[in-house]
Amino acid sequence: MLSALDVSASALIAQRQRMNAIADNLANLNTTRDADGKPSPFQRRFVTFAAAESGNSTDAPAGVTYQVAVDTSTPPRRVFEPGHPDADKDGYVSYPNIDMMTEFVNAVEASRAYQANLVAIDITKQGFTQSLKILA
Amino acid sequence: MPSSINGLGMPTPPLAPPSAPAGPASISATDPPLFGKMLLQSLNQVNGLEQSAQAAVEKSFAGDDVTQVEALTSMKKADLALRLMVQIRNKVMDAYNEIKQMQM
Amino acid sequence: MSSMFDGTTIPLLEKIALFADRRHDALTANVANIDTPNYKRRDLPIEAFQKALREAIADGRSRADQGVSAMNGDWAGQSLGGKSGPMFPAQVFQAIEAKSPSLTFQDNNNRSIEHEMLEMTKNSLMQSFAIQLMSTQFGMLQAAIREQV
Repeated sequence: MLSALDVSASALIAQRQRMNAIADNLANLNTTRDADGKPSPFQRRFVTFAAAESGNSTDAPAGVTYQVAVDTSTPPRRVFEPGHPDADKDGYVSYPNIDMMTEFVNAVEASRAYQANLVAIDITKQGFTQSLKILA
Repeated sequence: MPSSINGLGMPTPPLAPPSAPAGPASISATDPPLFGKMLLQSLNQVNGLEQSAQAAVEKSFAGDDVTQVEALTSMKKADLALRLMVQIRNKVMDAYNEIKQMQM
Repeated sequence: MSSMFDGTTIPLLEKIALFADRRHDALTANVANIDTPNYKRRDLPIEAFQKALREAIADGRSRADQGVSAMNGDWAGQSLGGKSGPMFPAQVFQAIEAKSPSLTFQDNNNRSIEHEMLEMTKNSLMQSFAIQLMSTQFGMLQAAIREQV
């Protein structure tokens, strides 16, 4: 009966995961070592969305699902810093392939989508409580 | 039917009522009063509306494909039909009491 | 005297409103513990409740089909209300540890604030729906009893 709320909530959860990935990227803008301490630049994370499959009938709206993926295709940023402890034999350090501007733009978009879905939830709730006036 | 008095001064039995013409507004002595039939039909309708309202509410909470608007409107229809029935009943009772108190 | 409610949906709606009430408590506890380490999400067993609901409805319908008048005895009271018959065990109304759609975070808490708010909203809407229907039915009974609309 209230499947519209489920749909909007799935979008909220997906957009929050997107914000988490963006925050992760921004925090690791200059990370040159991985969790074990070996010199390996942080790989950019991004989130892909897909329309969710509905369980019962094929055309009922079911919301959105997300997948966290690692961007392995973009090469890391190589900067010539011979004195850096993580420099390779040529003196180049590999920094993560993260562009701050791209991440900011994505963050704004995610935040707008989050707000839009909150408004959708509000409208669904209002519709429901309005329909109770039928009984008044 | 007023009895007619023939030339001898003796009352004759009243004439048989005219045969009822076809049509919903006619009343013949052998049919039950149409108002009673109408009341019975309304009672059945009120009962029917209540049953369908109950079924709609049960279905909507059991997860079947009944939206809340359907359940609410069927419940409200049953509510109004019942209240109309109660009012009709009150008016009929009032009319009956009034007739009972008429001086004969 | 209590059998006058058996022909209505009032016992069913009563159970639903009670379940929604208990569930609200469990969900607010989840939201309060959104930052608590080692806290696992709790909820009422919804599938068990839905199942008990369907069984009670089907039971009521089958008895009606057998020609037992809806106003007879308290068979509906047995399955849906009153003496809390075999189909609505008390465990259905108690909070247990429930699964969460979210992953477990560093502090061993499986939080998801959106999920909790969503469930709370749905729960509260269901409750107001059930209560409004119930009060309409009570109003109908009152109109009939008072012979006054």
